[in-house]
Amino acid sequence: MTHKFLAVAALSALISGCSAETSGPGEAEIALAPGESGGEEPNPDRNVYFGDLHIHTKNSFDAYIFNIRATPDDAYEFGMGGTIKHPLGYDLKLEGPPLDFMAVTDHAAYLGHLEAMNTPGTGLSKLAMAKDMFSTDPEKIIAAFQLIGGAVRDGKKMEGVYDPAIVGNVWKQIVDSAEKYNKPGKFTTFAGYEYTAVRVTRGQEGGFAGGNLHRNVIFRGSAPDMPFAAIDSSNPEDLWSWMDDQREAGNDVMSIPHNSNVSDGEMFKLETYEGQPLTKAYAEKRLRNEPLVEITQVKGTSETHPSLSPNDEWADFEIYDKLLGSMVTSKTKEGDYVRQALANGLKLTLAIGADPFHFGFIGSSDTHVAGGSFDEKNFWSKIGIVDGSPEARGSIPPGGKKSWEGVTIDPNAANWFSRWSASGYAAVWAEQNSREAIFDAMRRKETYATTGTRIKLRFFGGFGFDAAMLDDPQMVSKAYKAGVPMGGDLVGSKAPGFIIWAMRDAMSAPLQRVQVIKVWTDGGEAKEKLFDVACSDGGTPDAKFRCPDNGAKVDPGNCSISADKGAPELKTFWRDPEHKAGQRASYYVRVLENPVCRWSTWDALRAGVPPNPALPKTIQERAWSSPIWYLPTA
Amino acid sequence: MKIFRDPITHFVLIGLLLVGLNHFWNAWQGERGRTIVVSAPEIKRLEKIWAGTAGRLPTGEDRQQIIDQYVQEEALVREAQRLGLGDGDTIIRRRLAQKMDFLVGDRASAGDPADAELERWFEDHRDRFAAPEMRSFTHVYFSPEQHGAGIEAAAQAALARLRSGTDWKSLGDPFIQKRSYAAVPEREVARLFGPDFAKEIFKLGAGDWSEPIGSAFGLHLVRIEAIDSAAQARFEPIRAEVLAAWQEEQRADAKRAALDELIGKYDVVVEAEK
Repeated sequence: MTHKFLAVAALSALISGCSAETSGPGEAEIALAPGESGGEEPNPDRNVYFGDLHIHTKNSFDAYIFNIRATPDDAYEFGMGGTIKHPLGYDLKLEGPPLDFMAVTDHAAYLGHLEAMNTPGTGLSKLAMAKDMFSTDPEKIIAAFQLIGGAVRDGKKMEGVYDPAIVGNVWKQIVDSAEKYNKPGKFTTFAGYEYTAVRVTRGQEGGFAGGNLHRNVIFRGSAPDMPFAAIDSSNPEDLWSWMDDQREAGNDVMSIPHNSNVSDGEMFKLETYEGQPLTKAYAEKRLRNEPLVEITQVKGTSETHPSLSPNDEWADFEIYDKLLGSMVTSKTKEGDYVRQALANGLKLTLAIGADPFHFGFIGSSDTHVAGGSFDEKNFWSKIGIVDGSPEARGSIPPGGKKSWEGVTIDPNAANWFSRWSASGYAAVWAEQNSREAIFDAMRRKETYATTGTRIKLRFFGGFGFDAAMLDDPQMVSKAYKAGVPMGGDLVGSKAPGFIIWAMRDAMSAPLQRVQVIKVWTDGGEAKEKLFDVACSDGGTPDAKFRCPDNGAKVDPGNCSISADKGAPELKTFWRDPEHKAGQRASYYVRVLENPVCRWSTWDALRAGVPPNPALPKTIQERAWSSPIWYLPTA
Repeated sequence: MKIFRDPITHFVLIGLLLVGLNHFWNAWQGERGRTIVVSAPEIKRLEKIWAGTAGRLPTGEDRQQIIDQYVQEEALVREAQRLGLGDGDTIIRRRLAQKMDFLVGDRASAGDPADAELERWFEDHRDRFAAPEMRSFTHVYFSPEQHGAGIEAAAQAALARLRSGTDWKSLGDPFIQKRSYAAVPEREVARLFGPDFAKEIFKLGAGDWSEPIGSAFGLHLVRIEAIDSAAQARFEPIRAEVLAAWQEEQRADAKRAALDELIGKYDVVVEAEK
C-alpha cells in the first residue's frame, strides 16, 4: 500500500470517527488508482484547478467611481462560495463550485486614491477634483474622472494628487488580504495588481483612443513594498526589467497581458515599444516574464478575428473591438490576436533565434465588482452601477418598452456593454492546490482558458503515442512520461501524435466537437488551419475536416437545450494529416459545447421581451488549450 | 361676558396662542441652529478614519482641515434641513429607518447563559450545528461514447464481476476527474456530477457496489466508502459557536419584541383600494 492509501484512510477515519464500523468489506481497496488524488496529497498526474486572476475592488479608481465598495476580502469570500453585494444592492454568488485559486488585481496607478478623495479631512478630499468627482453634477463627475483616467493613460504622476504613501498603504492591505485567505491544499491566493499601460495612438474629434497594453502582475509568494505602475513607465519593457530585479530579490513574479483585442495592434507588435526591431534579447526577456496571455474575459475574445481567420466558422465569437473608453475600432490587421502572434513567433524564431510569443492561454473575469460574472443565466457584467441592470447594458429595450422597434439604444450600451461576455476562467493542471504548484504550472504553461464553463481538458503530444493509449488506465502517466502536456515543446525529428481528452461541465451544455488549430509559416507567410478532430453523436470529420452538424438546438422560448444531443466526453488520438518534416508548427485545442442562450437572451427572457436583434441569441461556450510546439531538429 | 363664550373668539385666541408658541419655538431652534459644536470624541473619530485612508496620523494642519470639512458638512446639512430638502427623499427615509432599526437591535443585548442552559438549548437545536452529511465514494465509469447503446449491458457485466470480487481498478473506462472522492457534501457532488447523480448516491448504504447510476457524464457503479452523517455535532468542541448562535437568537427575539412594541404605539390604517 502506498502512502496515499494511508493518507486517505487517516482522512476518512478523521471524518467518520469510526471508519471501521461504517465502511464496508472493501475497505482495503480504497487505494487510489494511479493518477488519482484523495485530497491534499500531491498528485503526480496532476489535478485541474479553476481560478480567476483578474479581479478589481474598490481600490481601483474606475471601480470606486462606479460605486464599488467591496474589498479584497470580499473578493476572496465570493471566490470561496460566499455571497457579496452588487453596488445596485442585489446578491452576487458563484453558480458553480468555489474557485480553487484567485488573485485580486487592482489598478496600481492611483491605487486607493478615489477612496482617499471621498474621505472627509484627507488632503486629497480638498482638491477641486475630489469635490467635482463626488458631486451630484454628472458633467463635473465625468470631467474629474477623466483627469484621473487621463493621468493613468498618459503615465503621469499628477502634482499634488498622486501620493505614494496611499499606494503603499493600500498595496500592503492587498498583500495582507491575499496572505490571510491563502490556505495551502484548499484555496490559493496570489498577491497581484494590474499594470495599466496604454499607448495613446489616435483619437476622434479630439477624443482619446489608445492601444491597451494592460498586464496583470502576479507574485508567486512574497511581494515588494510598492508595485511598479503604468505611471512609473508606460513601456512594458521597463516593467519586465523591474520584474527581473524582483526575481533577483526573491519575489518571483509573472505578468499576464490581456485585451490584446483592443490594443490597436500594439500588444503583439513586431517592433519594440520605442519602434526598434525585435531582438533575441527582447524575446527572451518577454518570455521570461510573460509565459501566459489572458485570451477571454468580460471584454471579449483575443483568440482570433473573423477577418484574420476567414476559414474558421467559429472565429466570430464574442468579438469586442472598441478601444478603451472610446468608439474607435481597434486595428485588427496585425498585433491584436494570439493566433496570428503564434505564427509571427515561429517566423521570428527563424529571423532572430527566439520566439517572443511562445505563450500559453488562460481566461479570467476582469470584474470590477469583486466577483466574476461567469454564468450566462445570471450575468451582472463588469462595472457596477453603470451596467448592472439589463436596461443599462442594452439587453432589454429602454424605458420599459416591450419591443425594439424604433427605440434608440444608449451608444455606450450598444457599442460596449451589450457586447461584453460572461467569461472566463483560468484552468491549471497542477500537482496540488498551492501557490508554488499553481504558479509553476502557469510558468510551464500547463493551462487553458474557458468562457466560464468548467470543461476538463487534457492535451498531450509525443512521438511514440498511438491510439491504443486511449483506453489504457495508465494513459495520463504514460503520456507525461513519453510526451509533453499542453504548453510544452516537442523537440524531435519524427511526426508527432496527440492525445486529446475533454469532458463536459455537469452544470453546462454537453460537448459538440473538439478541434485542433494548427499554426505555421510558409515562406515567411503566416498560415493557419482548423481541424475538427472529434465529433459528438457518432459523427466523424469529413474530407474537409469538419464534423457533421449534430443538430443541437436552443428553444428561444425558454432557453432549454436539446437533451439528446452532444457528448459527455470526447477523446481522440490525432496525427496531423498535413505534417511536413522539418516544418515548425504550433497546435492548440479548442473544445466547443452545444449552443446555449447568451446572457442577453436570458435577460430578455426574464423581462418578457424579445432579445436585442443586434446581438447573437446563442453562444457556444468553449475551452482553448495552451499550444504544443513542434520544433523539428532536422 | 358673552364675548368670552363666543366660539369665534375661542378660535381667534387659540390661533394667536399657536402663532406665539411657534414664534418662540423657532427662535429657540434658531439659537441652537447657529451653534456648531465639534466635540473632542468626534474629532478623534474623524482622525481615525483619516489615518486609515492616508496611512499616517494627521498633523496639526491636517487636523484643522478635518475640522473645517466637518463644519462645512454640518452647516450644509442644517441648511438643507431648514429648506426641507430631505422630506420625502426615499434614500434618506430608508437610511433613517435603517439607523433606527440598528438602534433598536443594539439595545437588545444578550448575556451569558449558564452552561447547563446553553447545553439544553443546543440539544433542542442540534440540527442547526450539524455539518452537512459528507460521503466518501469510489466509482467505476462507463462512457456513452465508448459503449453507445450497449452501455447498460457493459455496466451490468462489470457489476457482476465486481460482486464476484474483481478489483474495481481494472474495470470501466478512464475518467478525467477523480475515481475516489473523500468526504464531499451532496451540494458539491451535484456540482461535479449533476443533481440526479448526487441524490442517488446519497440514498445508498455503505460498502456495496450500486446498480448503474446516471450522471451528466454517463453511467457509474458506485460504492460508498464512508458516511459522515450530519447528526454528529457534539456540544463541547463547538461551545463558542453555540454560544454565539444562542446570543444571536436572544438578540433577534429581543429586537422583534422591541419592534413590535414600537409599532404598537401607532394606529395602522391600511386603506382598501377604491
